[in-house]
Amino acid sequence: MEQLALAKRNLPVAPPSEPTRRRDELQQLVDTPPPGLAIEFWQFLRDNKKWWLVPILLALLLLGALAVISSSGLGPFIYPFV
Amino acid sequence: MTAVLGISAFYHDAAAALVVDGRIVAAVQEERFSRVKNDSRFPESAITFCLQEAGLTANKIDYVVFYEKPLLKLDRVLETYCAFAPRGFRSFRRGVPSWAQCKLHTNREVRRVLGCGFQKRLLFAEHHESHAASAFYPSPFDEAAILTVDGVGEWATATCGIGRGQRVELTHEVRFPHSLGLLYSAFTHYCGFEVDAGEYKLMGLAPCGTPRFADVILERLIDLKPDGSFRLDLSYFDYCTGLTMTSRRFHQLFGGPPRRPNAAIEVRHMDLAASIQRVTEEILLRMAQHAHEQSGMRKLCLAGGVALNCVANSRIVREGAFDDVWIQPAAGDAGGALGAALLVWHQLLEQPRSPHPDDAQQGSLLGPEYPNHEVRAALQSQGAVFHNLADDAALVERTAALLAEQKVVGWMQGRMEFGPRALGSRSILADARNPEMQRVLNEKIKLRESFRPFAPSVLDEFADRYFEMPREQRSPYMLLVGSVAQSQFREQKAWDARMGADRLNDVHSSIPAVTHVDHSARVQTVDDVRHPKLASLLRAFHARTGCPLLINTSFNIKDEPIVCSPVDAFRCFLSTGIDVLVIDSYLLLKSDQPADVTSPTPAGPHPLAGGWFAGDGGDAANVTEDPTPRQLQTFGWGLALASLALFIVALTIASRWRGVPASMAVALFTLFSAYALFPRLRRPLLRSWMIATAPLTWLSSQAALAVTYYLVLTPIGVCRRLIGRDSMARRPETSSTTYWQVRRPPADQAGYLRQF
Repeated sequence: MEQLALAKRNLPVAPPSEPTRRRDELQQLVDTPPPGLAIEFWQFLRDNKKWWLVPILLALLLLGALAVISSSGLGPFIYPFV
Repeated sequence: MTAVLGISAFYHDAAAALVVDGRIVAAVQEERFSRVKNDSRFPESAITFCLQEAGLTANKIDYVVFYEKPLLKLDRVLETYCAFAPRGFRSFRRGVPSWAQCKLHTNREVRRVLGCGFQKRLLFAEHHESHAASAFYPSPFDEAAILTVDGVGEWATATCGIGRGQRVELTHEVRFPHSLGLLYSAFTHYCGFEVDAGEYKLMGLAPCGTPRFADVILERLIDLKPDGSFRLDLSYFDYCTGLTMTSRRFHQLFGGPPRRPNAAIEVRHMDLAASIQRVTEEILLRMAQHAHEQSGMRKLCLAGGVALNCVANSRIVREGAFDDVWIQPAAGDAGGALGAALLVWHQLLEQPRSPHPDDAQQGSLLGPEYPNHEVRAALQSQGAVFHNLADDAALVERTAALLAEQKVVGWMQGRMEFGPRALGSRSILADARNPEMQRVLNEKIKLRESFRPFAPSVLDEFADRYFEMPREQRSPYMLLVGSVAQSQFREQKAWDARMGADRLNDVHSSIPAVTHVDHSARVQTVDDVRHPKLASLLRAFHARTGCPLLINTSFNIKDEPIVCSPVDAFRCFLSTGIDVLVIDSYLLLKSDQPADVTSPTPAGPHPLAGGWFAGDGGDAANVTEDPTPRQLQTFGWGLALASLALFIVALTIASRWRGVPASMAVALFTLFSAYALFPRLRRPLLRSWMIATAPLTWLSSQAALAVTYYLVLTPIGVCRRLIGRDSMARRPETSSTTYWQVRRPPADQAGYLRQF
């Protein structure tokens, strides 16, 4: 508040302390929308160069999708005919 | 104000911890609310309690941090299957579905519990980083070496590094599948105790045996380097791919199959327990020495499940190179929630840290407390007969008198402990001088194995009179053992040649009920700062009897979590041989309770989530106990669409085959009409449909998992092995001097947003 008042009066504003700066930075980061699981998988494969995991992860994502359906009312229609 | 919520879940010991402006406001394990021992499910009740304790709503939480990185963990799981496929399908089909069901959905679970009030991104710390933070930040040290050892986190199974000021940096690690925690768990399993729950039983059994297998373990099972790093010979173990811990080769080496849980404990099992305990101590001592040499520090902080091995801890204190050692009382995964929250406050936000003058861990009294009026109301609701002794001194005097009369007392006071030990808030207390008391407590109250020892709580100023502990050494969290002092032995017996259980009932000392067969005791030193009410009770007991210590065992029975609420305590009181119950200012005598007062029904476990991906991952049928309105609605639409589709099929196919889809369509449409017109029929209809289709659902799910495993994962795994990729590091490296690996440097702030 004090810094805001100084800024409004066009007076020099002291730079924020290190913890304050870090808090602001982290606050900005956690306020960004999450990328979603698929994007995170992609980033993981890219950063670690584990492309050989792609087919396994795709199969698991498919299983995951089935799991989501299983928890909905459509489960009983899907599985008997898979 | 900055509030950080730490969460651990999905493996064992789910917990939540809340840190506000660097102070630990609350921390509690989910099991205490759910009443399921070592409950691993998402800690919904624990989170709710933490917020209530701080008087916060979800929108006031600044950061939520999970104690490990799920994608890194999944990477390890998949690499392990690839390294062993086509072996391992049974483990795959049981383990992998839980990833799809919950382990990859931490975000979803957090939002489900916190509601729309919390919209921020989650933070993810590494598993051993969380342990390290839980060990260093609450410690009384400005700087210290850190050692964390457990079963497995993401890839690391043991780490060492340095804590200095507000920073924790882990520099080296031992990686899966080479794990001291899993090695100990393998012997726990082999000796007939439950993995992740029975390790402390094995530790209790160890003094009954002789370590005659220690050399075999060191020669055949482990390649141990002088710095404590090691590799296991995986041909003796089955935990990478199987549903058990040990392989047939292991059984051949140690003379038979694993002991069944209810079978008699043989001398061989005692000797195995003694042997693995000896080996564990040796490895931990070397690891501690390595941490000292790497860091140059004179203080050590310990965490991870293996740090609950108080016998090994005591050897590090006695024989290690450190002047002082601090161990996180909730050293297992529950403590990871606390560590992760403290890590965000100090490391990510760079908030300065100065060691707390008393105890930042607050005696670990971080759980719920029930106000006097709530206790009264709970007891009245159960029809209990009680006496209100509002004066603390009178309550303590009366309780001490009952203890001196050899009564067993259930003692529930103030905030509940965080971590596995009862430290005087949810304890069963009794007179340690009574030679019969160990048997009485084990068989009539705790309903557990007769060999298991009890721990003493002793007034701080008398600890060195009863136990061989240096005056400056304290054990307020019951994490160290001390030998009973020679002056306390009535008769000086030579170490006799009788084996194991034959020595259990010997009267060793003036405090036989807390003296184990090797004359050791797991000591809690009690002071007025951390545990004032227990201290005043011990003083009153001392004034009355001349003995400043009591048996202190957790207020629960076998296979149940420690009691949390007054009703839990009352139920345990009624269902066991406890003579007296003291909750806050209320004292209840068993003999006063009317005959028609019955033990309240336990809360019992939460019903497992429905669906074939739930719980055991594939064996459960898709039978939801209570369909949600959304499921009911979706099912209705499903019926309508299915009947429509069948009508279309009937119209488009050849006329002689038309009857089958047409009759199915009519049947489904009739069902849909009933479903739409009679809302009361919806639930039973959906349940009946699910039951009818459950076998097909089960088969389909197994087929899908088998296709994934054998047609996708196995070829990839085999190809990788053919080109020489061995992520399991199975071969010993005789030319190498160490198996410690250098860790990647700590991530920047953005790195904590990632799940890998």
